[in-house]
Amino acid sequence: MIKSRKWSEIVSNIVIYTILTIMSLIWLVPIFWLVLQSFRIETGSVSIYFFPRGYTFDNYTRLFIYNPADQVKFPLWFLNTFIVAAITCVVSTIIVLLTSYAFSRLDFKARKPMMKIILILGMFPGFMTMIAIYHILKLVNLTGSIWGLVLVYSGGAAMGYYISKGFFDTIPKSIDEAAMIDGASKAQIFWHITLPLSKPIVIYTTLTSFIGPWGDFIFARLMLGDKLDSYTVARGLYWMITRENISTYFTRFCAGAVIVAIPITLLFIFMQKYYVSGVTGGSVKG
Amino acid sequence: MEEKTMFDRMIKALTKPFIEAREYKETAQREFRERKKGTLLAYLIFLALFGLSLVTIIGGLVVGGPLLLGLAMFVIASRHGNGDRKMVFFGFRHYLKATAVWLLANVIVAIHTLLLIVPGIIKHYSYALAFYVLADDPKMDTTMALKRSQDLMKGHKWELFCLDLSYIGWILLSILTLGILFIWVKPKIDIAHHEYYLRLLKEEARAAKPAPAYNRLPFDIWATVAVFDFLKAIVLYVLDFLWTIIKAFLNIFIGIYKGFVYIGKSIYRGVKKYAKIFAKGNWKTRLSYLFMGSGNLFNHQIVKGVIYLALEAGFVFMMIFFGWNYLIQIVNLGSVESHPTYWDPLTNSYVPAVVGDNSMIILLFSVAVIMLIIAFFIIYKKSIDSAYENQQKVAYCVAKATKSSTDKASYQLAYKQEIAKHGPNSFKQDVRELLDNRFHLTILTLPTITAFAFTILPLVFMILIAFTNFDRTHQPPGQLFTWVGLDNFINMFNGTSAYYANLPGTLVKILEWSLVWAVFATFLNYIFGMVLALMINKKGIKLKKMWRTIFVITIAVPQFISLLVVARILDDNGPIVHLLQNWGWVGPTFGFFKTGSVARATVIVVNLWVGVPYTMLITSGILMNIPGDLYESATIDGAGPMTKFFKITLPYMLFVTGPYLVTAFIGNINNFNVIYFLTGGGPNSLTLFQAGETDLLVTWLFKLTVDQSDYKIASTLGIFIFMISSFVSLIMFSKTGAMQKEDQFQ
Repeated sequence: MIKSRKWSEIVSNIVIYTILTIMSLIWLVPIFWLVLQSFRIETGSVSIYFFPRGYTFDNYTRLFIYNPADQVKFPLWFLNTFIVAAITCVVSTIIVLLTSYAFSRLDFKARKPMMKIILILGMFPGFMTMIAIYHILKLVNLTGSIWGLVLVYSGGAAMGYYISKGFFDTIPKSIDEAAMIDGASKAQIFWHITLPLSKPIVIYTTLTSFIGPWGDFIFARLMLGDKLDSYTVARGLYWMITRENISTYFTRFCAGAVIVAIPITLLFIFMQKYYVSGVTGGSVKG
Repeated sequence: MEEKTMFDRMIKALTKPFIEAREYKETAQREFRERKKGTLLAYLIFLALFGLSLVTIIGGLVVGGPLLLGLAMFVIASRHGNGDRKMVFFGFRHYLKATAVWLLANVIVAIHTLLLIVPGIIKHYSYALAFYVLADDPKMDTTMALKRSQDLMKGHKWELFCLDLSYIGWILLSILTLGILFIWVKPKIDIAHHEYYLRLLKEEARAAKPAPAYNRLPFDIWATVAVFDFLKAIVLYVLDFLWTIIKAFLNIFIGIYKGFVYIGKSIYRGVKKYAKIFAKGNWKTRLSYLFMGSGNLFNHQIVKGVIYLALEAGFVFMMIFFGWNYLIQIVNLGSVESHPTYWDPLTNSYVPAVVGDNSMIILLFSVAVIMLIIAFFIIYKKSIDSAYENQQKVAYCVAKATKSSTDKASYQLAYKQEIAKHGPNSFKQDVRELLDNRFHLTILTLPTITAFAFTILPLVFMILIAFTNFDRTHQPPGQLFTWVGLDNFINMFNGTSAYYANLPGTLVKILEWSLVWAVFATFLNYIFGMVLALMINKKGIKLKKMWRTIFVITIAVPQFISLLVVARILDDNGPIVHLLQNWGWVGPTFGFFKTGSVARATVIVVNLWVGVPYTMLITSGILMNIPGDLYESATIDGAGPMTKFFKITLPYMLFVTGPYLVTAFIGNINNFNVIYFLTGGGPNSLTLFQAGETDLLVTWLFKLTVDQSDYKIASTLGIFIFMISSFVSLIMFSKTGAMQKEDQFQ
């Protein structure tokens, strides 16, 4: 009775703990391997051994030491990406929040048609616009430059308004109405009431638009072409393990990957709470 | 005489039926003689039809039921004296029921015959009276008819068998005469059967047993019906699915048609409206038609008027010096090809360099100009609206002032007051409106402009490219490209040119794989993620946060890094392959990405690694949101964990994550990162056009664009991908839309 129930609970718990442990190990193996390889002393590409034969900090230092003959300019790439991310973050967040607020709270004739059009446009593969944007930017001489990237990332930001809109939808309209009775304009409501209530979604939007450029490869590959000086870390890291370069740069690739991964991982974990409520908040309540 | 031994009793039991059979046979013979002619004719018809139909087994199945029913009805009616050979056809009145009984009985008998024949014979006798039962009450349920026959025959099958056996001589003779003698034999058998049936009925009535409960069907009937129902459900589901697809197709065409009609109607309405305004307008409004902003400037709205006028001037200048040039060339996309200086042997001189037209710029700018024209018309419309609005406001003020005043002085005063309150907006009032009830204009202007510039304009441009021949051999600025109409689409689906011979086949294969991949990626990730979330969320598990954080770390690392790392760790010369080779699990030439099928499996598994933490997070969030009292009341009702899972957890989850699954499925069809970084779309294949065996539609698109510069095919493919994505979304949203309307807790 009670005793057998407790026993079956304990057994199932043990089984679950075992499965969880095994799964965690499997999941962490690649990351663990990456960190190990970044400290590897042997040069060359991928080794057949899991654990390196010797350890060193060399890979990290060589990334940052200035060597004019070296094509890999990691600090420059890091700075590029940081600038792009920071500016994109600010511009994107403003655009997205304003757009979501407009679709969520304001009522205007073109509202429904616009939402439908954005939905349909979103079904085109992202690439299709890339070539055209590339040629447009080429005409203005912005290809091969990080400012072109900034434009590209910010320009398409408004299309991703769904999550923020979902969040705004959950704020009761009665608050707005009370403020309107007191004579506030819509702009004032947005700035003084809605925004302070939406801290989670603002943080979420800011962080996602900041993290984005660090990991984007497709647009970077297309916009930057061969100009190594304007590469972002994503583009640069990929360059390091192309077939011609992998034997020279593999361990440094691992070091670079670790350096890039650490801040983003931390940001992401911090943001995790907001991510879950952002993705599910709309659907559960909506 | 007393039976002395068991042997005697056995013989008695065996022979008893034969002795009794004689009774039935006598009755049968007597009645047969009485109505010989009519009976013979009826049976002739029956045998002819039935015999013919038996030429094909299906024929016999289709027609046999009603024929046999009709025959039974004939026999019954004849015995009462009003037999009519037309009655053989009366069975068709209850066609469905008769056929159902016939089919069901035959299927069950067939199944039983497969096991050692004898059970089949037994079952045959179980159902032997089914048609007489049905003839007595044609409204009876199919399974009930069979059950009734079975119940009646319980314990009497051997008797009936002996009765039939006693006719064996006649039966053999009939077979010898190729069935002709059956016309004489079968009626007697049937009458005997019917007599037997009546006797069984009497016995049942005599026995003090209450009417048997018809609630629980015997197993074989139930099982066969259950299988049929299941198959029917599947067929209906498939048909419903196909119908949804057809409806989606039709809806698209209807939608396009409606779109055109709407555009046409709004243009018509617009023209009518502005003609009316012009007619009703005063000189200020009418001037606005020519010089935008007049309606504002002359109504003391200086800033607004100047802005409108400037916009008009800007537009006109743009068109004259810029737009017009490109627009006229939109038809042929440039006619003069550029070339550098070269030596012409014919004229023995240098031909100077020519900077010709740039097709791409022509197309791009033409599209931009067209959009600017549309935008300008909208603003033009607004300026006229504004002018007319002002006119009406002024008219209102004049009317009010006139009403409330008597002489010129008081009129001036009243007019000034009204204008201040209800007149055209001052600049300050306009600004205030833009921050309040016209706030949407303020906020959405910038995003709309950027969206147009970076999304809509490029998209329209790329869609148009699909109708040109812009590719590696037609690349501006050195070469021109031009319109080719639907050629690219024809090539894509028909592969007419030699270079593109593989194109349609490739398209189909890659589409197949994209869909298969999306199904596996979405649903495997979802199931695993849910299982993982359930495990972590379970009551007795500690350190929930730690477990979740571990999995979150793997997705916190930027995807392209983690994918590149996994691709390296699974490299042919990497540690994992080496390990597997050491353990002897794989051969020396094994590689995760060498053959198509292994590569595909690898990609799906790695996608699990990448995606399960996401689905785990989402399902965790939902799991924690399920109201606890649902579970409590279930426990009170005595539900076990499995029941609780299938009846509460699972439906709730599917309901909430429905939209997520749909978007995830569509997203996975276009999941570029995982495939590209893991395999680059490889391994490369000779039969596919510029594609590898793990390529999705999007990675193929990328390769065509970046590596091959075959922009025209890339654009065509892009349009195709869009059509598929939107099609799949339409279908899935219409299905889940129906689901969402249902009550979730029932």
